[in-house]
This record gives sequence, C-alpha cells and structure tokens, in this order.
Amino acid sequence: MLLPPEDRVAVLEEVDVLYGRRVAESGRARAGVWYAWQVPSFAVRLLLYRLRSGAARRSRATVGGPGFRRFRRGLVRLADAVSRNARNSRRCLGRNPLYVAMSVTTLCVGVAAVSVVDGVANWVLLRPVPGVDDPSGLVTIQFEEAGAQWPYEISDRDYRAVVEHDHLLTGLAATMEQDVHVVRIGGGMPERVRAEVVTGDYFDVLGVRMVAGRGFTAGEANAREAVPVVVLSESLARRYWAAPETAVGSSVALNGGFFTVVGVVGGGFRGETLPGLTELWVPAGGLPSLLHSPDVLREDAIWTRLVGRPVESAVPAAIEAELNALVDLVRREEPGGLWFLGVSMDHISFRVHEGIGLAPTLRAQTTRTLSIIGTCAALLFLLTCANVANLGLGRAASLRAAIAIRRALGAGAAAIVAERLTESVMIGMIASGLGLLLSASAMTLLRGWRSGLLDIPLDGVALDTRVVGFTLLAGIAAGALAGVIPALASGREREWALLRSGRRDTPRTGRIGSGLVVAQVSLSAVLLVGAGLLARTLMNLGHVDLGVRDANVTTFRMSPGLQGYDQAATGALVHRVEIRLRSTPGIDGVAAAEHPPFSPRYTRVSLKLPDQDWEHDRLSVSMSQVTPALFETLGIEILAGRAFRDDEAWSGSGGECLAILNETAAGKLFAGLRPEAAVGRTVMQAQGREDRSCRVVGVARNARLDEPGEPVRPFVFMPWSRGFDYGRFTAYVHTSVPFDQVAADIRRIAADLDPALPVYDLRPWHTEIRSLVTEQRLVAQLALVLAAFGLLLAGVGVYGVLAQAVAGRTREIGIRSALGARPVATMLRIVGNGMAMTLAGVALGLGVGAWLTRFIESRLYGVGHLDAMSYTIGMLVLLPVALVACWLPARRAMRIDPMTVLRED
Amino acid sequence: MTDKESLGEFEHHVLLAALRLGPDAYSAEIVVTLEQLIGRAVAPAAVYIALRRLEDNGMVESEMRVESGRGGSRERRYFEVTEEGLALVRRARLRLLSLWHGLEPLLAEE
Repeated sequence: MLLPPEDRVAVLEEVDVLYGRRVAESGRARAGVWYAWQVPSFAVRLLLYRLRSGAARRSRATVGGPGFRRFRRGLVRLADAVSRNARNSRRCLGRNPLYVAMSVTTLCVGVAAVSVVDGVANWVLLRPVPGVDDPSGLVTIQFEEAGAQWPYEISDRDYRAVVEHDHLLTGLAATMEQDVHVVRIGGGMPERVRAEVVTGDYFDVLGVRMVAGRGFTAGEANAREAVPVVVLSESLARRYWAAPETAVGSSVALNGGFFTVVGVVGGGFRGETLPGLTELWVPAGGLPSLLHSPDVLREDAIWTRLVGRPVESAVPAAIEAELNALVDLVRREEPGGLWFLGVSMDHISFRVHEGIGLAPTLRAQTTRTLSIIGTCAALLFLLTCANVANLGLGRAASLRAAIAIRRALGAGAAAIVAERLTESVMIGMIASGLGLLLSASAMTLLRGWRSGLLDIPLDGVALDTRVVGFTLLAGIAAGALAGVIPALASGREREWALLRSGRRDTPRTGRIGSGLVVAQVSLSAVLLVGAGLLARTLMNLGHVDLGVRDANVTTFRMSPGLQGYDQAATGALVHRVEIRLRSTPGIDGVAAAEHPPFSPRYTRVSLKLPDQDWEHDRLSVSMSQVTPALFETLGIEILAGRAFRDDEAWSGSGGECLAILNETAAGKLFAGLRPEAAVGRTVMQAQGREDRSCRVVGVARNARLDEPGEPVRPFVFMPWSRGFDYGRFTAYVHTSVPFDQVAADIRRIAADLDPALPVYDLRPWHTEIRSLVTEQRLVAQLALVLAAFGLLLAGVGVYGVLAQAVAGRTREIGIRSALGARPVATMLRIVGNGMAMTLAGVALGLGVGAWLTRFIESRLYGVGHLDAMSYTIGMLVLLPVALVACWLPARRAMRIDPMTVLRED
Repeated sequence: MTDKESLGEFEHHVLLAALRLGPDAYSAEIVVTLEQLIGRAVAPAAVYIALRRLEDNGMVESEMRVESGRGGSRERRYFEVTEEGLALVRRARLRLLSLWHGLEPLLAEE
C-alpha cells in the first residue's frame, strides 16, 4: 500500500543483496535482526514521507481560507516533528536495550494472553454456524426443567400442536440426533455417523443452500409414513463419491434400510448445533425405518429441540409464553397429567434461547470454563499495565535531568509529551509485531490441537485484531502516562533546583513506583493461588478412589437396535459376545451394560418405598441394565447381598423385577439403616401410570465417575433383559494383554457375529474416565500457564524498580562504601527494600486471592478456597523469584567503585 | 521539506554517492557506497526515500530495467543525476568552499 507496486520486487531484491553482504560481514544472527528491522523501517519512513509530501502539497494549494491553510501548515510541522521524534527515540532506545527488552516483553506477553483467550472464547461461544443464513435471527427451543442439566425430549404431538397454532414464528422445525449405520450401496464398510431426523421446512428455516439436488419437499417433510430419502453433508458425499452431483440419485443403506440421496447440503453445514457433527438428514417419516419401530412417532417423545425464525417483532419471552400456553392446552386433555418414562412432565416447560450454535447446556459449561480462564487473563493484563507503567516511571525518572535542561532551554510541555509518546508508540509497535507473532503461533498450535477445548475443535480459531489493538493501546497508554505525568508534574522550580545542584543521579521513582511493584506482586500472588487451587483439585481428582477397576479394562460399544435387532436378539448378541470373548486367551472378564453406568447422560427412573407417596417421596435415580459379571469385571464391591445370576439376566423380559442399589440410593431410600437391611426389601418403580414392584438383591459400593467432584448420584442396576430395550450396549473387557491385541480380538469376533454391525468407541477405559476431568485439567493447565507469565512479569517489575533505585543511589552507595560500609550491608539493604515491597504485595495478594477464590469454590474438589497448602506453595514459588529479582541489582550495587564515584564529583 | 535550492545533509550524501557511481546507480549500491565513505550504517529505507524526494524535485531521474542473469531475470530501478541535480551539487560545493575559506588552519588535522 505504501510502496508502489512497480518498486516492490526491486526493493525486496535489493534488501536481499544487502542482507547477503551483512551475513558475510557480521554473521547470520545480526544480519537476521537487521533484515527483520527493514519491514518496520520502510513502513514508518514511507508513511512519514507520504504524510509530509501530502501535507506539503496541500499547504502549497490555494484552495481554502487562511484558517484552513494554517491548519495544513500545522500538519506539515506535525509531520516534521513526528519524523524528528522518531529518529531521536530510535537513538535513545538503542542506548537502553534492557528497558526496551523489558517493556516489549511485558506488553507482548499481556497482549498475547488476552488475545488468545479472547480468540478462543469468540470461536467457542460466538462463532456462527456455517452455511446458515442469518443465524442470529433464529431461536433454539428446548423442553427444560428448572435446575436440570439436560433438557427433555419433545413429543411429536406437542410439536404438531405448537406448529399449527403458533403465530410468532415464521418457520418452526423439530430435530433429533440419531446415530446411524451407513453403508454406500455398491461397496464399503459400515460406518457409524451422526444423523438428524427433521421435520417441516428445516432447510428453509435455516436458509441452508444445496450444492446438488434439493432439500425435502413439503410432502416428504410432513409425511409420517416411511419416506426413504436422505440429504447428505458435502463431506460425506465427497467421501463416498467423487463429486456431490454424483451422489444425487444414488442409494445408501441406513440401519439396513435403503434410502435415496435427493440432495447434498453445502456451505460447510453440519447441523444447527456446534460442533457440527451431522453427516446426513432424514425426514420425520423415515424415523420408523431407522429405528425399526413403526409407532415411534405416535407414542414417544423424540424431538431434541425446535429451531425457529421469529417474526420481526417477537421477543423470546413472548414466544416462550405462547408455546407453553399451547402445550398446557394439550396437557389438560391428558387425564392425570403428562408422563414420560415414569417422570411427570407437568413442571417441564419450553425455554427459548436466542441464536443457534453451541447447545445451551454446553454453552453454560463452556462459559463457566472460559470465565475462569478469562479472569486469569484479565489479571495478567492488569499486571502487564502495572509493569509497563512502572517501567515508564523509571524511564521518566532517568530522563529527568535531560528533560529539565530542555525545558530550561524553552521546550514546551507539548514537545516533551510528544517525545515520550513517540517513544511509547515505538515500543508499542515492536511489541505489537512480536505480540501478533506470539499470538499467531499460539493460534496455530491451538488449531492443531486434536482434542480441542472440551471436545470442541479449535480448527477455525483466529485473532480478533480489535482486541489485539485495544490491549496494545491500553498497555502503551499505561506506559505513556507513567512516563509523561512525572515529566510534566515536576515544575520549573524543581527543575532549576535540579540543574543548580549539578546532580547526575537518577532520582528514584518514589511511592508510585513502589506501589506499582506491590500491585504487580499482589496480582501475581492471586494468579499463583488460583492456579494452585485448581492444580490441587486436579491432583485430588486423580487420586480419588473411583470404586471401580480402571486399569486393564477395555470398552467398546455396539448398537444392534439400529440394524433391526429386537430386545431378544440384542440380548442374544450380548450373550454371544460375552461367551466368545471370555473364551479368548488373555481375557479375564467380560460384562455389558445397556447404558454406560458412568456417563453424564443416563436413564432416569423414579423409585419409592411401597408405603411412600410419589408426590413427596419420589427419588429420581440413574439406572442401567447390566449383565451379571459387571460387578466382578469392573471391581465394584458388593457390600451386601449378591450380584445378579445368569438365569436372572438372560431369562427374558418377564420375571421378577430385581434391583441392586448403590450406597447413595440405599441410604436415601432406607435412611438410617445399614446396607444389609435393604437386601430383600421391595421398592416401587414408576412406569407410566402403573408402578412396578422390584426386589432389592444387593447393595453395591459407590462408584465416583459420573460427575467428578459432585456427590455420587443414587444409582440402580437391573438385570439385562428385565427392563427397557435401547438397542445398544457398552461392553467392558478385563484383560491382561496389550490393548492392540484385545482390540483386534474384539473386532474379529464382532465381524464374525455380524459383519454389518460396526464396533465403535473401542478404547482403554481409563481414557474415557480421564475425559470426565478434561475441563478441570484444561482450566488448571491454562491457569498455571497464565500464573507462570504473571510470575515472570512480577519478577521483571521488582527488578526494574530496584535497578532504577540502585542507579539513582549510585553516588550515595559510592560514598557509603568510601566511608567503610561493607558491600554485604549494601546488598542486604537493597534486597531488604525489595523484599519489603514483595511481602507487602504478597499480603495484599493473599487477601484479594482469598476473596476472589470464593467464586471458584464450586469448581474445587478436596480443597477449600482457603487451602493453606495452595497458598503456601504459591508463596514459596513467588518469594524466590522476587529474591533473585532483588539480588541482581544488589549485586551491581556491591560492585560500585567508590573511587570512580568520588572522581566524578 | 526539500527546497530545490537547499538539500538536507543526507540527501546531499545520496546525490554525491549517485554521482560517484555514474548512470547505472541503484539503491543497494548507493547504500554500500555511502556506508564505505561515511563509515556508519545507512538504512536502505532512508536512501530509498531520499531518492524519491530527489526525483520528485528533478535532481535525479530513474528507470526500471529488467535484467537477465544466472539467477534468472530481475527488475531493478537505476538512478542518474540530472543536469539540474549536478548544478545544485556544484552550487552547494561553492557555498561550502566559500564558507570554509580562511579556516584551513583550524580544519587541518594535527
């Protein structure tokens, strides 16, 4: 932009020639530094040249009145002054490389920390869903219970009621996520992918564009009979066919049923929620075929969420009120209220969330995580500003004599301010270049981070230049103010006194400088304390007795229900898998659960004692149907009673209802009784309008895996085939052979039993357990990184102030030495000054930390927010760093030669 | 701002270096020549700006040429001092000589 296009190549080539010459003269390193300097050098000079020549041309023009021509001449003078100040500043800064290095490092670290955290937060929370037209104009509607973590499904009947009578939404589509087994007709291995079953004008509501074919017609979308059509994502279409156009008209098998591809969606669209994982879409009429359940649309609550586009004047609260009023009408027709899987739906209502993207539950979780990280980054940024301000004060103090002479010679305040600002801007420009480089490098690393932030890929994370610019300006302003204000506030009388005294010492920065050091140390202490608490939480979580065997266990999943297996067939498959694996060498135990017992999402049932009342005594518990060997395979201790027998697990869906409670469930149901007292007792399980009587055969030890750090939920185990049919299972294999070997055995046996049925989520179980603490680990690691930077900046701050103090007291130290003061005493006095500021900062930091850490107490495990060890470790890390920062300038003071000082006098 | 009748010191140096190198002077060569003659590092950007200013004021004229060599073809801008520039340098020299006249004993090195 500044360099004419025709000159760019020539200039670059000539710089390369000069670089080669400098490599030969002074080596590659110095030549590299020279080469890097040429870019800002050309930029600054060309900019000033353009300003001056443009201003000069305008000042020679005769257009405009006298006032305007004076203004233009002022611009020319300003351009000259800027150019002159830039040259002077460059020379002055070149003579103070340490000051430049400390200022640049400080600003660079602060800018990078804030920019990276902001970039990640923006990407995770605010990035738009790709391929959607105006995503901010959409709303997401869920069926929620106040205080519950997860929403409830919405029945097709409720959806039809609201879509027919609603007036505040121009379009309303329902969607559910469903994993399917897909195989391209004509060849290929079965693959498990995420699908969405959608209603109505889903693609029109979202404004999604097709790159080939079409979306669903109204007839296909509204039909409630089998409609074997499918729309694919562009990524899946390209995986199976050479081009999206080739996919249209082809066939795929979904869960064993044949579907025709009618369209391929473009723009990178992968579903209306983030991270987008959906690969294909099926209209509602295709759901019975996918789930092999003809009545699923009539009977079950199936829709995960609704997505709608409000009319122009509609607000979320009004939409919410209208939808809940419509559903209430439906409920009044249902005698006894509305129930789903034994849970009354009367207290559950629609909630409207603005926008689409991150699911509301995930948004809340990630917002909490990012708030902690953001607070640490903000503290680091405050530390940066304090450090830069302190360095600016020191710089102003060192230039006080020079400024006094200039003012005595007639320089005005504006000229002094301009010089200080120019210096700050030059440092800021260097820091911005390095800060951008550091931030860009961090972004590149984050983009390649496979596991992502809480499983959210960061492949598109980018810097927000506005945030970079703001943090940079704030840091420069802090340094500039700190340099300008003392220079202006000194007053002519004090300057004359300074000049008359002939002192060449650098005055100390005084209380302000010491105050800034105390502030820096306190901020660093807060960061260290917070990071220490989070790190101890992570350590505690790592040492928690999980109540299960987490080593040498492999887990995998299969979903035979998707291939049309009924409950009996699924049970038979599970039984055959167990038998085949148990007879494999190296495998010590095999068990299965219909639903992973320790996952965040779980089946919920309601229990009570026979003489209790549902309304007041209902206990909501998590439930899983398991094979008898689960407890032995996972090492779950049976505290009382026994595990299930084989005949109880495999005798079919009839027969007595049996239950094994965990300690928490037994304690809540049979309060005050020992576990043994629960064995043989009866509990009632709600099943729609009829209760089922279940006999307790055992009480199992609590396993702490569903929410690390939370109290263990009440849990009930039921025998396989005695409960609900979900068409899937998770298997656990206790083995003494390496993972690769047991994984190969599992795949071989699964392929033998049914080659069309894929195995998925095959991995060592401890990796799945570790993923439960991913969020805590991430927060602790980031907090430690930010705390380390804070420690570095605090050390730089302490060192900077003491170095200035030593420089300012050179004459005094020299005279004291000449009068017999021992160097050690000098050192101790300087170190003592520094450590006094440090201890004051530590005391302040501990107090502020004790107050701030209250807000993260809910995220801590095994430690309180006033944990003495965390505070102690933080101080044990901070104090030595401060000690070193004090000792370095003290060592220089010890080496001051008194004869040199006296000779200068 | 450059006045046709007075040059900044650095522009004067650039003009003299260009004169020394003749009609085929290019920016990098001027930088090297200046560094050798005045004994300190010279910023290529400063030389480039100075040449632009001199050209704006008619002291030099430039021509972009494409040359072929062992490493392939390359573009380079060559500068030549104009008659006006030469006249300005002569006038500046006369002014300096008249100012220096009579000061030779003081200026002579011991």
